[in-house]
Amino acid sequence: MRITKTLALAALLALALSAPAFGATNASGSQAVTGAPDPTLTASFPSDYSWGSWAIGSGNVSGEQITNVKSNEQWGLKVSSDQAGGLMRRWNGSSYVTGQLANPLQWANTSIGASVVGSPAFGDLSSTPALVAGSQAITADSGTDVGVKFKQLVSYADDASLGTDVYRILVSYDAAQGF
Amino acid sequence: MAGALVLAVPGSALAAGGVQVSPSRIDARVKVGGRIPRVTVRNTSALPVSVSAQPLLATQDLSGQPSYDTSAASRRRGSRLLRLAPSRFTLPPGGARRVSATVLACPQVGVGSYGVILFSGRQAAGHPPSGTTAQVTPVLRLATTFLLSYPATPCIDGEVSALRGDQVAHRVLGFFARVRNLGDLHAKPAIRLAIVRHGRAVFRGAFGAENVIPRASRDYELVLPARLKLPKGRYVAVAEARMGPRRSRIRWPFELTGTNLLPSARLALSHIAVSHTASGSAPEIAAVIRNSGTAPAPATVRLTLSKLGGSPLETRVVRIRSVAVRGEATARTGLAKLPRGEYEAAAELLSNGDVISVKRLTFGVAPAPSLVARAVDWVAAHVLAVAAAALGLLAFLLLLAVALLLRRRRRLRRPPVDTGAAPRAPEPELLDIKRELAELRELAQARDLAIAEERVDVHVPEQPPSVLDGLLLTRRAVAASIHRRRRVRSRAGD
Repeated sequence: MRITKTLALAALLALALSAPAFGATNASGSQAVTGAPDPTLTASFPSDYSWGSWAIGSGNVSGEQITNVKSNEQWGLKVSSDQAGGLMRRWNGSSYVTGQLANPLQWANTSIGASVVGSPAFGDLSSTPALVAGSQAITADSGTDVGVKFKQLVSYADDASLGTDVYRILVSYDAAQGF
Repeated sequence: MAGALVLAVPGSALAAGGVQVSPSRIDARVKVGGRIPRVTVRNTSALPVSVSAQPLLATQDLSGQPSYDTSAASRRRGSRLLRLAPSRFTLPPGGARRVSATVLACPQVGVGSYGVILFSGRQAAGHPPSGTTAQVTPVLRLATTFLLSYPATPCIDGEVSALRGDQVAHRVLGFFARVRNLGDLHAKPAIRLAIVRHGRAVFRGAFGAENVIPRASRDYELVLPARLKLPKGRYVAVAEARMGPRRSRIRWPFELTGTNLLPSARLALSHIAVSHTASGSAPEIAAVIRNSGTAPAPATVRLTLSKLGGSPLETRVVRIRSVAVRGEATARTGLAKLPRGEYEAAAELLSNGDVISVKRLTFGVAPAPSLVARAVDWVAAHVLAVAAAALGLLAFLLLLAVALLLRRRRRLRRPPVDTGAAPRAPEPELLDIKRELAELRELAQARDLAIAEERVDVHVPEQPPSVLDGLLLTRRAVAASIHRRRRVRSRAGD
């Protein structure tokens, strides 16, 4: 009697264990794959800009300086200089020496992407970052070009006997995504 | 600027390409001592790029962009919030580097901290082409904005920011540890002190546990037991503070000039003055610092000019190399020309960035007074001196008048002098007589008495009384001399 009961229990257990094997052959489902790109910002260096000879007056305008920005979030670009008042200083090749221009270097935004600014508004450059382009939309893979031009008013007070020195200024282009 | 036509000549000294940061925005839940996700910086240009990374606190401008400044003070504040590693590196073309950041401080705004990690990239400078008059060198700065949120529990944080010793009594030393509360709740920091000599601790002790409130700094004092005799020599005091999760440490080397004798400076602001306050003039603030201690010390003074009741217009920090023992030094600074109005000048004596003494002075800037007004002002300011000088002058004139009057009266009383009876001998004749008398005196002294006696009756013509008296006296003296010598000789002959 006890042997019969044990055999019956073993048979039931074997049946229960074998049941999932039948289920697996009939199962179907789906896998959720999620992801989010890291906010990423890339910007290109404009070239060093070397000015040729200047004339007395305010007609000294640089060629357009292009900064290319690629961003997958809303972004903006600011510009500032290493000199508080935006005055170009005399540079002997390795450091600033005595002497600076009488008037600050001015800047103006001249283009964003394909949009050209018809009448660029020039303003003095300073060490406080000034907004060139704000609230800009996500860019394509080619990025968005932002154009800036510089203008220098030259007066008779500006020393022209430089020898091998030049007048120089560092211009910072700050690219950032919004908060 | 050779005077030629303006021509912009773009010089392509650098190759195109740039820098990439990712993530460029970090929104993370953090706690003090924790880390935020690392930022990868990549050089996408064809030239090596040197990169420096700097955390900065930021606000938000109307365009939604972060607004920050890169001043030294701003950089210091940023560096107190996040520690970056590495903060400077060079990336080869195509190279990348991951930068980690550790949260050092409690929330700066509400329960969050907001700012940017600014990555500044520069390519190696090229030589400008010949004929270049001016050069604009670009720096590319990419910002990774961060929004850090903290648990909504009080954040306890602080650090020991300064340590000094002082002679608190005769042969008794005291040490002062300054702790700054950087958290948002008061706390009692645990601070310990060790005095080390030749690498061995000669004293260990704990400062009292007392509260320091948020955003405040305070000094904790520990007086060494009088029984502890520290001989002359060099030592190092080391203070360690634990406040919240932060442990901080500071060292202060010192030298005892005798047993428990520590030369100590004691600086304080004595007074403040402002000069050149007429409108159109550039005012000057001068603050005098006095050292009443026993050691010379440098001093740092912050001089601030404000519109009365308004915010500061101008602030200057003046550093004085050394204020001598029992001496004074003046911190002086010139200011920009001011329009008319009421202003306040303030001098703050700083110790490790904390204000330990303040003097304020209110002054007005008015139009320059006319010459007459200035003269009146001067007289008003020097009224006592002017009155004393006037009285002195009056007294002098009075005395002079009395003297002249007396002289005049004396002259009137004197009998008239008969000047016509004594015609003055001509000058050459007088000289001859004088010369003759001088020869006589020499003869008498040379004992040639016979000749002298013969000639002693020198004729003296009529002379004014003063001249005559002198000549007669001389003749009488010569005669007396001859007579005396003759008597001496006759006695010798006897």
